[in-house]
Amino acid sequence: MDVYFFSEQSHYPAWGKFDGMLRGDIPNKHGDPTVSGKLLNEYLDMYQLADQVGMNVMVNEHHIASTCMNNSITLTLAVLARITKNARLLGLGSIITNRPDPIRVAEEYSIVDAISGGRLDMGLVKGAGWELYASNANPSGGMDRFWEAHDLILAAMTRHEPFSWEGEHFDYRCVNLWPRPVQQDHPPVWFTGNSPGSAKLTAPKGYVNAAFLTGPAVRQTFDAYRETYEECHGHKAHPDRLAYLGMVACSRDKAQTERNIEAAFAYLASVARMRPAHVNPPGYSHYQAITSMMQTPPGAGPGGMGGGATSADDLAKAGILFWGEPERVVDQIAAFNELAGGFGHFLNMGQNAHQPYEDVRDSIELFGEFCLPELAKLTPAREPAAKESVNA
Amino acid sequence: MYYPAALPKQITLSGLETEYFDEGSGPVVLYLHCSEGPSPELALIETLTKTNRVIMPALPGFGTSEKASFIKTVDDISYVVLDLIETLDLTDITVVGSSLGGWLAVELATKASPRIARLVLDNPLGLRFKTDPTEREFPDIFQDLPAQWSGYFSASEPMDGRDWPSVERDIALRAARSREMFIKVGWSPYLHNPKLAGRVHRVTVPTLILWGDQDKLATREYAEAYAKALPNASLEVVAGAGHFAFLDKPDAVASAVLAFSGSKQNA
Repeated sequence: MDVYFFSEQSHYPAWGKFDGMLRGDIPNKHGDPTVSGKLLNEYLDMYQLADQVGMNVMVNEHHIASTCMNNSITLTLAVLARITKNARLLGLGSIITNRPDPIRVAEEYSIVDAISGGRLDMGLVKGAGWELYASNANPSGGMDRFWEAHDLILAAMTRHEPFSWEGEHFDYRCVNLWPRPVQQDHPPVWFTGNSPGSAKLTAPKGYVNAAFLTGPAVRQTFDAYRETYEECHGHKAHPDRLAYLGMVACSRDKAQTERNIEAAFAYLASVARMRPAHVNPPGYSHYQAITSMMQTPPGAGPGGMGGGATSADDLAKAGILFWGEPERVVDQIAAFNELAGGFGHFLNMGQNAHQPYEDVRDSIELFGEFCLPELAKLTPAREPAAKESVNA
Repeated sequence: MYYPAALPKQITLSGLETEYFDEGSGPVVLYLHCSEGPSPELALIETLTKTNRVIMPALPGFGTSEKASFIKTVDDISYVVLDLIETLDLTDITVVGSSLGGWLAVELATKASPRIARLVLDNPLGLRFKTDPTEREFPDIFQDLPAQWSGYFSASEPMDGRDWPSVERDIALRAARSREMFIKVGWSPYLHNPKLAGRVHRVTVPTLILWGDQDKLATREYAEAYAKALPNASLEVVAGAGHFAFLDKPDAVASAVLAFSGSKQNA
């Protein structure tokens, strides 16, 4: 199992200045630009340190949100391409459902791959419901746009003569990618997939399916992936086709553990601070799924993240937060890995809410020294020669 | 309670399987439904059917009517309705449209079918008069859950209280499909077609605009500007009605339709 360090890069100092929603509604007057700059530099320092201790790195992208200042996957990855040495650089991901110009995504990812010497992992995602309010892309027909953008980006990276594209959603007179990505045919593709339905769409492509904070339900998602993968490819999926994201806080002592757990709960509390209408506007999900939600009596649906866990122990069992001294963190991740049926990549959400730089630094160093070697034994990586064909 | 419901007939329009309602006899009323989808159980439809032949299609993507990738706007839908008019060979039509359907009626009339005799627009959407790009013509209902939209739509029906868990799945599916199609055609530009302003001079048929004085979506100024934008339109205020006047004051709307179509027929 390899590990990717991740922070949502929030502007948490603004959270206490506004009672309402932290995405969409919170006025940016509550964000101090000087503080934003300081925090963004701290987040880059964390990523750099993660690289130094042997982790890969992952960045995500959101808009109109105080919970994630990173509004461009590729801008930050371009910086990281320059200031990291060995880390794989995962962008998870570029919200191609909403981008009016998928070629721009291909161009920028190619730059990152070129500057980093082929260290890019190329995440392409549908995006959260509230992103539709930022981009103003139509909620209806999003998956059609997603797949056409995907096809276009892959075509741009793999075709080496200029070509035109007249699709349903995108229209280009001349596609001719300069520079080409270093990794040929194209950088590895990652999708997010938090449900069996999503995993069944990812498996036929052979792409990595990453599940975020789903808890034990990840087993059904990963099983659906494994089953579909074997049907489509005639052999079992290597665990490196599957990734799981959980929060991590390694600590040196009890006081630090308590601070870290408090920050993790602050993150979980922030998740709900979003307009209900922004979660799933009509058209964002298939109308049959929306009908099922409409017809679910109040209170009968699935619980919130972590199944409403109120203790740190419950959060660890639920696969939401792995915390404490390094041995304990390894044990918790190993137990969850077994529950999930085995995954090859662990996405270490290692900075949460107001968790300060010093505590994150300790967590990264402890994780690198003690956890990484143990986790590497859990699911051994493949030899490079045996890497999945990225065109699978 | 207003739930979308099945329509009894099927017809193929622009290659799309379409369900529709066609009952009653007398002068033709073509009713274009609102964003919540059609229902033959609406009091307005029941009243009009007593004296008129009432035709009500479920528009593409609404109810169970088929949709297609070439239907992205209300303007696109208007061509399907033209197909309906010609396939059924309707003439001397009174087109009645509510909210989204009122917008559609205007799009339809810009195509200048000689078969259309007059329009009754029940709180129509579709035009934007504001010129400041940071001002909306209508409050952004898509910032709220669909269960809350009725607060903007109706002054009387407690639609928020609709009990979706206990209705038949078929009805809930119709509602979910209708809402998705409403978002498809209404999301951006928001509930209007910027090109329509350059086309409305073609709507020369007599037009009656109804505006509910409790409308929380469109203002009286909007309704007045709408009436002014059309060459041959007058405005009538429906007291006590919200944006869905057809739902809040069905008798008043029915009377207005009958008076307007009767007087024009006799003229």
